[in-house]
Amino acid sequence: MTKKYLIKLGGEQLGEPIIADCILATGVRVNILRADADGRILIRFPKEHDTAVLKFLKGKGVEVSEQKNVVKHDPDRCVNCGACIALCPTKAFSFDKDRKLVYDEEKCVLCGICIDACPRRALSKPEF
Amino acid sequence: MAKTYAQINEKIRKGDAVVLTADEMIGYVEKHGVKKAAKEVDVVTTGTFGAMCSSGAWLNFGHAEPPIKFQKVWLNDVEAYTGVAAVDAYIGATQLSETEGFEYGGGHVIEDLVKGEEIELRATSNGTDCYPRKKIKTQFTLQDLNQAWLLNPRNAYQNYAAATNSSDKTIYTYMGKLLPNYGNVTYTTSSQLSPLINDPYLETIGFGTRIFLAGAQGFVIGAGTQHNTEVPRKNGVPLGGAGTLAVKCDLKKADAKYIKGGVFEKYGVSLYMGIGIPIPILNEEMAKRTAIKDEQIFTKVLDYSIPSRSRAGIKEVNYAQLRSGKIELSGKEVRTSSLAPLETAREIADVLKKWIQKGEFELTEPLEKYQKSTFKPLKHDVQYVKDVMGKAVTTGHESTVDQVSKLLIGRGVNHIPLIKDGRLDGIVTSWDVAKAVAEGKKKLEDVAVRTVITAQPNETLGIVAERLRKNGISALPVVDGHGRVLGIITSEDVARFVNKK
Repeated sequence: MTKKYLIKLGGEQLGEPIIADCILATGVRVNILRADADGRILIRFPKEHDTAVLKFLKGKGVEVSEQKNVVKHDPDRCVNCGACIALCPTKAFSFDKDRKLVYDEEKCVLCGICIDACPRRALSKPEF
Repeated sequence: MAKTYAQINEKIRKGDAVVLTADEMIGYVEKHGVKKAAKEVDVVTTGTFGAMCSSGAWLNFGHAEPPIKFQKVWLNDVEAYTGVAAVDAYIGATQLSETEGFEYGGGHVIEDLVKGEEIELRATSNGTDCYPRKKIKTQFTLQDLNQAWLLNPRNAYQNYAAATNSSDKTIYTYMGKLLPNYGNVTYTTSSQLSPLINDPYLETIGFGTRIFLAGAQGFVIGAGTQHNTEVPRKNGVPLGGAGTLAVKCDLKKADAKYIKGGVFEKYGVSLYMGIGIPIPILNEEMAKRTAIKDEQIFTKVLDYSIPSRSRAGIKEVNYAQLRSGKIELSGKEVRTSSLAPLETAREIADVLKKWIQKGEFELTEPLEKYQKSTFKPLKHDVQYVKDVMGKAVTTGHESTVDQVSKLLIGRGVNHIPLIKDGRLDGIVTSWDVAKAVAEGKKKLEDVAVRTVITAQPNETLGIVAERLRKNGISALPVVDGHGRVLGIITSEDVARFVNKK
């Protein structure tokens, strides 16, 4: 599983093109999954480049941590209606051939858009 | 060759009945044709599972010692209606909890009852000579009740419009969360598996039809409320909500798998209800109708951002398109979501099929068929733009600022819509003219506003007042569907009417 990393930029770092610098310096295609105005950026990149990217970011004094949190799906509460499917910006939800809901946690970027749309309250969101 | 209910039931009793689900019937008719299907197939089972708000349960609690006549009653803090004798109450699916708000309601109380959970009963009364007790608080489960009838006035809508949102903010509706700028589309029917779509003229469904209801065997007790037979049809199926069912069963026999509470954010609570109806294949016509496919069933996509009961259909689509996960709307690809779990609808059609195959469920001929019926709007005092609007003074872009200022003064107006090729193409106000004079501008095009916010003749005054306020403007040209100016409505017109009232 490709890991997702949460970067927290603060102070002076907020004005710096740190991700761009990281890509230029390492040559790794870093994908920005989500970026918030408070300086939190969720990124993903091919896992063979873990060392290079993390070394660069840490070298710049950036706070980096692996983001394991994803929206939690409770299959016991879920009724497989699919209300979440068209809302999810990263297409983490889909139906299998029997119209049962399939949730691909790896795609979740914790935006939380699905949470209040679930009529069975089967989705919950941990901290980003 | 026609069959009768009695002949089909005879085969069911012998275990010889040929039963297919509505999904299976499609393939059968494609392979063998309608003639053979009508001869060989006895029953087609249908199924639907979706949020059906017009649902609830009549409960009888038995008498306390000393007895109380409930005047107000709450089940897990959700109020039930008790305006009948002593200890009967109706718990409605959409009633909200007085302590948990939108997160718990009547639908959840019914789910919890069916799951066998303990429910808190709280009741109050003035106390009478015959019912001296004034309050009571106790716990009960479904099995403690004398009667518990699931009794739903309007279920199993025959088709339903799909929903979208053209506005620039997210809206929350009973059709779910609708993202701005046509961000998504929601829809809610089991389409080719849906009961009233497989018998679109309700030839075999009516008062007394035995059905699968919430996992129990129940009955249709007549046409549901808002039943409407006069909706335009395509391939025999109404384009949107039309026929409905009133249904009843013993809640004690319900299965928690097929009856569950639901929350629609910022709208309220509801109850997911499972319904399955057997369609007897009495003749070729029924064989043909039960073989209907998603691509032959159409519905309209409505814009739920329009705050009116009559929302315009943006597009007509079929269910094969909706189920593909995306449709094209207003030039872009829009993703679609179902709100009604198709997987459970299939399961219901399958369970009903097995009941019939095993001889546990026989068909009933309706005692009374559905009558022609329409769905009328509420009679109340509603004022439309067309009743209040004034005549518009208009001009063209070729006019000068000087000419327009004379027109404003001469006609005693503050707004002049600009017309080009017979259609609205801008607006100029007395303020715009004053500004033009102050800045020394002579040409109208330098001051006119080209993007005009408008009203339509059949909009209500309330809607228009809100539009004026939201946009901080004082008048709206009234236009028809082709952009032709029919009149103008100003904030003074609206205020005058409100004051008169």
